Amino acid sequence: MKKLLIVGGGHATAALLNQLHKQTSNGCFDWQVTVISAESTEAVNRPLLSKDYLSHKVGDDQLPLIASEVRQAMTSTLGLQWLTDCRVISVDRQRHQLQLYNGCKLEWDTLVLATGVRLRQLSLPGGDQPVSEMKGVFYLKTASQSQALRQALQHARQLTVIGGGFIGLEVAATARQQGVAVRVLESGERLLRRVVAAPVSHWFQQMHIEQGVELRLNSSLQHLLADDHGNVRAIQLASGDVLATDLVVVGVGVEPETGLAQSAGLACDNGILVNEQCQTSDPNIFAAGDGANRRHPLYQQRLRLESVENATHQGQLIAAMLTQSPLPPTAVPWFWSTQYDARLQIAGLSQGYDQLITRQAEGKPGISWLYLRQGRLLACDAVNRPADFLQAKKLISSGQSLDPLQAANAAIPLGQCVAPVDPNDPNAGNSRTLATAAVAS
Amino acid sequence: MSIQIEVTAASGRQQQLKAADGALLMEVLRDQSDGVEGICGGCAACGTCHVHIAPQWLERLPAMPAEEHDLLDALDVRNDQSRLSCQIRLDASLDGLSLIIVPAEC
Repeated sequence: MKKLLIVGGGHATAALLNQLHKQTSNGCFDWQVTVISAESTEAVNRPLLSKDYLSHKVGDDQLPLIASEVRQAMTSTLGLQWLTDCRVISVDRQRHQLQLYNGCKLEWDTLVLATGVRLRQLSLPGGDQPVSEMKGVFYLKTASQSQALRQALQHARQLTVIGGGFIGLEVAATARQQGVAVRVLESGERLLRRVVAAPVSHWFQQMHIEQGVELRLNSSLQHLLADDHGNVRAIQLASGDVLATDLVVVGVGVEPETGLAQSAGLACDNGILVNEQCQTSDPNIFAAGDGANRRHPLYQQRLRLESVENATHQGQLIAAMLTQSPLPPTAVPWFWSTQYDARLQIAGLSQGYDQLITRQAEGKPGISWLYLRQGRLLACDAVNRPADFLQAKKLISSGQSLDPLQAANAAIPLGQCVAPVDPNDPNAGNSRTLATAAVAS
Repeated sequence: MSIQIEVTAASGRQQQLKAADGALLMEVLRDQSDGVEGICGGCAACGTCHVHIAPQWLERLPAMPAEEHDLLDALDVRNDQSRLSCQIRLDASLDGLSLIIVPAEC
């Protein structure tokens, strides 16, 4: 029986397994599958960890990404073995063999690297004791980290979030809703600066301030100060300010986990390089998820995307390759975040935009922003305007131009704001390749 | 105890699925049939678990939250039978539920 090894146990892996499991009922797949994951649980629904799980809205029973009956069935349909708390130390491509930390060797016919990203660690100029050894300092990626943070939040009085990205802001919102005092420290001049335009950042900043968050932009850290028991007690900024705190969450970004792939001699550059079919430079080795830098068929360039949608799509794509089934259709990249009552949905990629249009109906809480380039819609950030989000996805993939005046009128459905086709535009209606503005890597 | 539901996929293929009491309809459809993706995991954010419920069952379903209403409004093939299956938890009163899966629009 052929053997499939999957390194990493997140969304891409779960999507791959779910799809393979469905195919076994048609007799399309008769392999033995082993997952090797460094995490202590099987695949969890990661977005819940910084939102509904952290706030006790959902419990442990709702974390697994694979339903328990399905998971049980996979033991026979896929011969699935899931090794948790397990690390791979080397990849031998000649022998098609992985070596595990405990000396065990596993062989593969096909290998999937779904190794994801690792959290960037806080580096402090002061050369203090390592931050990781200080009690009360948390990072957030795994279920056990979320569990620990959830407990700490119950007794916390003052949380300091380091890093004004999505994870940090979601944690800040959750903590505020539990009545904890929250401060957000951001080294840049605005929140979410790598992802959204300045007016969107400002809108989110205003919301957090209204919710009582103490927001400090342009702040650089000097030291984390602990008491005699090793509990974090304060943060000293480069400005000299000392801020008391009893809980710190660090969310300062991620880096693709490419160590294994690199040691195996696979091509890597900001992630593991893969073609449209998610194959690495070795066609028997696939890569998927946040750590894969894939040639994207819609954009005709390589993109490394950090999103559930991307990981799920790539997992399904590899399943289709392995079972020789039709490939799932390519969708416009999308992403979401929930903070307080604001449900942000992002469609498309905004890099290279030359026009930003705001849509907001008077007296209504929703707002959305459209990113255009030469009249065509590249991306949409919609807050509590799901219709804009869904219609934007369609407009982005069809490559149609918008009438900017109409699009600025929130009362007109976005799908009806299409500009008349210019007969002199040779690219009009060309949806094969989306705007190929350089996407920052 | 197990609940039976009658599902017609977008392809026209009919299936009888079994689900546990308390299961989320979206997860049952995602795991056992084709056409429901449920990417957002059930927070009514993506619209990829759209179904049309047989009329006689509509009144027995849990009420529609505002965010589901908004999202459905944005879909092209919305009708009076539209629901997002991620907002429906199955119990014994829904044994025999009959529905059609609507393919994701984008």
